[in-house]
Amino acid sequence: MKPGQKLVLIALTCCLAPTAATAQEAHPNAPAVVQGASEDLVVLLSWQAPVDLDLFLTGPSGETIYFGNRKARTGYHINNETTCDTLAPTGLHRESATIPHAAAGLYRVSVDYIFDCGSGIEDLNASVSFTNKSTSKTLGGKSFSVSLQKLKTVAWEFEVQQK
Amino acid sequence: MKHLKAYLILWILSFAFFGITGFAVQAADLAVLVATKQGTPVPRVMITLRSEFEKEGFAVPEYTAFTNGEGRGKIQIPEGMAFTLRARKSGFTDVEIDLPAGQNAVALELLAETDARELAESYPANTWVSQLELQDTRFKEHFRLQCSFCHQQGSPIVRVDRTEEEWEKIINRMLRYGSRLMTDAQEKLPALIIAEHKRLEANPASIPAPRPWTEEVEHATITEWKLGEGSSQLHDVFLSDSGLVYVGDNLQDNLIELDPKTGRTVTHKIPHRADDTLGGNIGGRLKNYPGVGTYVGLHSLDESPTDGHLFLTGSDSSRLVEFAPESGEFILYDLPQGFYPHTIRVDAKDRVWFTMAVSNQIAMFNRKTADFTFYDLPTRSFKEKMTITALPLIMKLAKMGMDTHDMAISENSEGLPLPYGIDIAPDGTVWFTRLHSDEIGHIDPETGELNMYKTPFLGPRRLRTDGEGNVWISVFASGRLAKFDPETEKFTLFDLPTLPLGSDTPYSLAVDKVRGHVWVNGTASDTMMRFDVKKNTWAVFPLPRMRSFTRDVVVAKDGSIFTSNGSFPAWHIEDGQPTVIHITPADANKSLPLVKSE
Repeated sequence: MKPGQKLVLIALTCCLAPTAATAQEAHPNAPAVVQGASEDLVVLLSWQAPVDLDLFLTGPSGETIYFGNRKARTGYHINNETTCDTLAPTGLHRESATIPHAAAGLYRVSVDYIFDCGSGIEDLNASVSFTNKSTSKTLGGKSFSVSLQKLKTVAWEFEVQQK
Repeated sequence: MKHLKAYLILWILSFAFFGITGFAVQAADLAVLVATKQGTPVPRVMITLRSEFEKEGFAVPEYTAFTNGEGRGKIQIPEGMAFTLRARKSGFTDVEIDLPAGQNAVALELLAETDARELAESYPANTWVSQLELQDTRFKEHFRLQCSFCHQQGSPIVRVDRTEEEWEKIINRMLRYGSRLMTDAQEKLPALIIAEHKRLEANPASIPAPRPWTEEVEHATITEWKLGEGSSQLHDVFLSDSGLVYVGDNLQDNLIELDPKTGRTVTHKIPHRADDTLGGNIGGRLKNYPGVGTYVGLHSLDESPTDGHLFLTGSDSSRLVEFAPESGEFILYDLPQGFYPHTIRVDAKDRVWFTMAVSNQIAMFNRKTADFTFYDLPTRSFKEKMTITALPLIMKLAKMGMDTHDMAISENSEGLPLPYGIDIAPDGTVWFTRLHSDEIGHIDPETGELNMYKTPFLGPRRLRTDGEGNVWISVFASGRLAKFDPETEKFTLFDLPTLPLGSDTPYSLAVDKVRGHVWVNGTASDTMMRFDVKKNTWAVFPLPRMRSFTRDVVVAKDGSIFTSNGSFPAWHIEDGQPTVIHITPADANKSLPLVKSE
């Protein structure tokens, strides 16, 4: 089963919902549906607290990209990595990934929180969004909480479909 | 090995050419001739045919054969299909060409690889690991034991340039998956591994060549089926009495059925209960894997001798699972006690035996009475006894979110002796290993007597008994094969043929009781190895994909074997694709049915 396949089935049962927002309203755990196959998509993880979060993206092929496997065979890749050493003193912290010519299928975003960078913060809020790279149009997003030493396994899922 | 099409000279040769040299070509055969630029035939070249053809419910097989001493090979292929043909031999550059449907002969030119880096990159991971200098032998064996549980070390993806912080995060992830890397090594390893990888990357010529392929590959054939996907882990494989092959996708709760004669596949989704949690009920170990789709954690499988039902261990749900092939139905048995059912074997009396890796037990399910019996194994210390006694509470707290991975870990993993492999001897008694306590154990089901035997080596992983009752054990951390004679209670150690000596990490093995062979997984060397017990000789069969992390092997009646590439994660595999692999040696008796051996 691909990541969240069960959720895909749920999504298919409510596939009359035309947009990510309405699908999410109908089923909060259903993956967002994006008519963006073959487009270049960007997934952005952002957070305010001075800690090191790690973005993981699993694509339809089942391959996961993250700091330990920066580029998938099908091309999606991590753009930038934030670490305790590179953490900016203020402002939003970011990690992002690009999906060139996005293949249709289900994508899962996971977020890990391993190092608190000396902040002592146990829990924090983060958000993930994804945009069409060429139009800069935001296609969806979600905010969630993460906890130290816990992988947010399914922080966000979206299904890319053919237009 | 890189896939270069440069320097390729392709001749389409006539039947007449092969006729002159007496090479018989069948209508469905592809004849291949491999030579150097100077025209010298290249023997023992691996030639692999792959097709992009896809059909729902079928896995299109990939075919591999080898050239003989005259540089000639042949593969029987389905007619009317286009293929990609790859030629591979250590010391040469890969050649890959497209082969249109209907072509029945081809000649390829191989070029010697002269670039030291490319050569080193083409070598299997064990050759790189052999050159790692990590403090001392003991430390390195501990590293090999704990850091090669799920995937190979020494591969390109492991050697990627990383910071110490990144290595610390990776080690943290591995601990959450269940690695028992001792606390001391957790602290030292990031700096050590970075320095060693840098040293080796700067000196590729220091990486030793692997063992050359020898004559046993000539006329051997390998068939491989792509099953599962990039988030799968094809852990154990089983050949049933019906001739169907079953492989368990540990990360997606799929029992995949393959008919090796037709390529037909059926994926049976193992059901879970409504209140089961993603990643499993016992601590959510696999919830830390981003692509996780498991609630059950299918690990090992065996077949009932009475009705052909399969019994599966659901490790991460602490559940025994029964599968009825005739109806496709599953029965779930929640275990009344204990944690992490692991390797499973069904005895002649239809009793289902399995190791309980975390709760330090051997379990037996009596199908006639539907009762479970648990054998508590001895502990090594008071602390270990207390830890195991407190497991139900620890697991409950872990499920509620308590961290267990950051507790101190000793070199011998005190608290987790880890009962692991298991097998039934011809006399009906039960043998098992304990990976972290360096022991094998024996249970007499009739008397309940339990005996433990200390192994003279680190990390006995899986075991099998032979027809005479000897116990064969894969010596994981130091790359050897061991035999235990129950009569003399003596261990005999055998070097594996993998070069450099001792550099493999053999995960498992199987015994061909009819022929007196022991098959061993070359888990770090991309090989399967066959030991002829009487002749004291080895035959080595290289696998088509690099980073083939095989964990199990099953022998067929005809003398062939099945194994699966269960690298976790799958993207370590050369093309990221898990597979089931069937190796037919030249001396297999193809007149016998392709069903499980005795």
